[in-house]
Amino acid sequence: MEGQIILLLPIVYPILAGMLVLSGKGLRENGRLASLVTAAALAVQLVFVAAALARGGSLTIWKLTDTISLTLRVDGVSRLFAALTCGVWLLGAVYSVSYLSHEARVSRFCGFYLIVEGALTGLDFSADLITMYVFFEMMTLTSLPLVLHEQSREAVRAGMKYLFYSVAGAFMALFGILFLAGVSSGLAFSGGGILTDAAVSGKEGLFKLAAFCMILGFGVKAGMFPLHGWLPAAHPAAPAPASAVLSGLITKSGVLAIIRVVYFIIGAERLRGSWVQYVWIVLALLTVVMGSMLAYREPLLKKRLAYSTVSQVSYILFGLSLLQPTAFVGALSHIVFHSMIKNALFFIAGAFIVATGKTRVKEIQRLGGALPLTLGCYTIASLALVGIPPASGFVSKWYLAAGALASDTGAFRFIGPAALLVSALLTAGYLLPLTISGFFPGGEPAAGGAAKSGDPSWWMLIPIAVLTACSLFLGCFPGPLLSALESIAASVL
Amino acid sequence: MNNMILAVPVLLPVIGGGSILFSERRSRGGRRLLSPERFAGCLVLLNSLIVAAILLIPGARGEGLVLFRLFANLTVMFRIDRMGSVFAGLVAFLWPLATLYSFEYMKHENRKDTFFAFYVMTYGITMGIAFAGNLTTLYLFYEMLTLVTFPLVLFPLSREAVRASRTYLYFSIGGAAFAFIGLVFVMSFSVTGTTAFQPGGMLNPETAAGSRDILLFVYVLAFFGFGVKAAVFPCHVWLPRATVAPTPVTALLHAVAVVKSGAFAILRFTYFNYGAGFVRGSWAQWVIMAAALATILFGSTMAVREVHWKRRLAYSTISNLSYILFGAALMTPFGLAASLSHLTAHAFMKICSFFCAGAVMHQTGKTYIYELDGLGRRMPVTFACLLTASLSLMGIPLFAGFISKWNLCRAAFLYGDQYADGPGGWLVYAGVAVILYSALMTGIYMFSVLIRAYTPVHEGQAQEDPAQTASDPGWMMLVPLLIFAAVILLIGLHSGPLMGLLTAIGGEAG
Repeated sequence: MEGQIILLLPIVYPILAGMLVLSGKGLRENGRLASLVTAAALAVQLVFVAAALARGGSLTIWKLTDTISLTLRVDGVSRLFAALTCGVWLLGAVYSVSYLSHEARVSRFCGFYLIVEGALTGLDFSADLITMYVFFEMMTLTSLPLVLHEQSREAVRAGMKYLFYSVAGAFMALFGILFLAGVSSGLAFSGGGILTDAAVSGKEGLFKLAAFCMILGFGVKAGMFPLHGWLPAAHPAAPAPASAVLSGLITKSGVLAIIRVVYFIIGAERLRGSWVQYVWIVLALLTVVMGSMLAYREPLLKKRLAYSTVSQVSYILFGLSLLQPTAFVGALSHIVFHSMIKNALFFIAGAFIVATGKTRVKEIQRLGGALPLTLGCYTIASLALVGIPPASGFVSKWYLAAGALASDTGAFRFIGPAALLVSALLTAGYLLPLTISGFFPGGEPAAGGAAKSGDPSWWMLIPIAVLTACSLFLGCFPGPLLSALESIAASVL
Repeated sequence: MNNMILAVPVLLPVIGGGSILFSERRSRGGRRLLSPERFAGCLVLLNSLIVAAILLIPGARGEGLVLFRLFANLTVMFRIDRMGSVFAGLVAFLWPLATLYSFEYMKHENRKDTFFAFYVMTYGITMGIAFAGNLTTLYLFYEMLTLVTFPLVLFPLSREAVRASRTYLYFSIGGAAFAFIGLVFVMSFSVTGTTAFQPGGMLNPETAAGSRDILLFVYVLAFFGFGVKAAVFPCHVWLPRATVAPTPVTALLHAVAVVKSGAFAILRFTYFNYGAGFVRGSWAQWVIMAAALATILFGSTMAVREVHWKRRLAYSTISNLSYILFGAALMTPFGLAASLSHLTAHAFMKICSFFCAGAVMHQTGKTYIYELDGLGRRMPVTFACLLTASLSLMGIPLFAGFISKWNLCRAAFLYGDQYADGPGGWLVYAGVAVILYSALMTGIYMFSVLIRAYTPVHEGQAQEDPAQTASDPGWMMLVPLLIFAAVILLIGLHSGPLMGLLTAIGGEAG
């Protein structure tokens, strides 16, 4: 092992902590203690991640064979993802303390929740394609128990679906990795790509196929059409904190993988104007519109949010597929904003469901009186997702649309922004009815639709409030974040 | 030339195992000093130590041994080269552990003498295949392997077992007949007039060039002939049926010793008789490659459909054996190395999976996958080992299966770089896609077992099911499982030395 050992700490620590939580006898009986321990452990993780990010550098962990080694390195993209992950993860743990208090098997949930964080941090810190693949698989497999948590027939079916889609995607990506391992002398990430012209000459057809396989394969995790089917099944089946991080962050790991492959290995130049780029744009735009439409007609609240994730993550993929700096900044900022907004929305949905005992949007009504704070946060987060200024969604969508108009992708310069607009309208259509019926209930009260209890406890309310505030605040003052993202964009394009 | 020590690992188990059969008759009624399983255990352990000594002590393997001559050029001879020592080492490592496992597994069975006698004899025959110095010897032991394992498939004596053993016999003997044609042709076209293995092939280039097509045709025949034991589609039928045998047999023989003898024979025949260069780029190569790929597709798809646990694993074996054959069909040095690496890795992961299935059968009597609900909690160690084996079979990094699949796919891409101009050059890329598809299927058929096992019993089902009080088996079954799981991780994390050896074999023979 050579390099900065400290990089290993934020990966190994949560995994070990998770194993301890899993094996601790006392925690198995006392779920509340388990979730408190988890939240405390993640607070410590915040320090470790900060230390690792501040130190930076790289580390070779282990050589599997002569050609395959596991290496870590911290760069701008890792900083962005790792900071976002551990922050949101901590809030999810705080939320769980109260949310899971009535659930069974809390310690098992918390244990895997911690382990996934470690795997995700490893993914963020990966310095080469194979290391990333290792952590990608690890993340899939360790997040599976979160989906399976309820152990109902539905949860098991959702879990299987999640596993099989993910594994199919990973193996598709592996085809590309195997190809690249042959043509390139190494697979370490480097801004702007590492492939040389000589490496792919004579094999352009196979190269493009490999690139497309990787985009499609990693796109499974990001819920890109046509392999999005697992997402609306898996996210609602899991408990609210798990669906929040699955939607908010684990889908982003697919995005991270695509960023790494396209911008750090292949190089944007090499794909520009090829069929791969156009198919990618088409798939992303299709997913944007289709996800919103499916969300619009979905009656179950959590499933509606899951379809919304399908659509929103493809905003990011659309931004990446344009291979254009402004759009790239838009995509990266949408990663941050969407994580916060979608986590807030899933947390709020959990609170609604706990308060009313209902899961359908139609049944969750007249909440304005009973849960004013929660519904207020819901409204702000929804507006942010729709993209109403000054909330954060506006900033990222602005950059995405500006990038699309500035790109040289033919008709997609106009089709793209139009699709984003349509989707934004639909987003308003599927999110805001809850606000309207909550604050302005007309007619007589529907039977059993009202809340049984008021605003949730502080454990749940604080994470919701923090995320909502962030999504508003970052929209008002996006300057520092955007300049950081612009410097990343400058280094890869 | 004559190093008699080489005969010991072959003859000792055969004679020792045979003596168990006879002692059974003589000592009925009276007490014996050594129970048959103890005697078998000592024999197996002793034999493995001898093999280890031969393989590890420099110079111990000597020049070889001519056991006897049938006539002039037809000799039965042993010689250990590096490829033989890989197979021999693998077998010698697995046999004692599998025997330990069968002590507990067979505890309540009758006719233990018969079982252990043939189990031990098979060890010697398999060693004969590993040590064989020419095709004649290989062929001889290959036939004997069929005969000596036949009683083990028949062992339960049920109607199903009779049917299975009959299928096994017909397929194996029939296959050997095809292999025999190969033997004759190799002998008549060889430079020396013998069938001795020679890295890189031993056909006489001048005479062989004249009859290239007929030789290739014979090659394909022999491939399918030896392929019966390696369960190449459509000669795979016997393998899922043979799972009726006791689990130690299914695990050791039908996942490693017998089926890998088939694969080993094909490797020998291809790389040490014909020579990879002779077949490379010919139509015969595309035929056998297509057969291997079809088998991978077929095996892994059928495994998903199968609900009987051991049969599912048998279908998985069918597909995984053809991974080995796909590597062999690349006809390149790295293809051979990759093929051998999967031969090694698959041995550990499949025997581990079978032993887990056997442990569950032994403890609860459950044989179907839909009966496994909730057992993951009851038998934590067993299912942890199964999880390891499953991850490895799927090809998840850090486990052995990833390394071997990586090698196979890399070998295919390398082939594509070097010889892509051949008429079927696209077939190697299709091969990579097939392997990845099969890996996905592996995920499905292994993980649906695991997810079931870790999901508790649903309300509707009977709570007083005896399986709900089951626990992990005793140490004799657990120790082998844990060792296999550890080896899977070890190969996955540190495959450098192994790959060094295998690449050297490939470099020499490719």
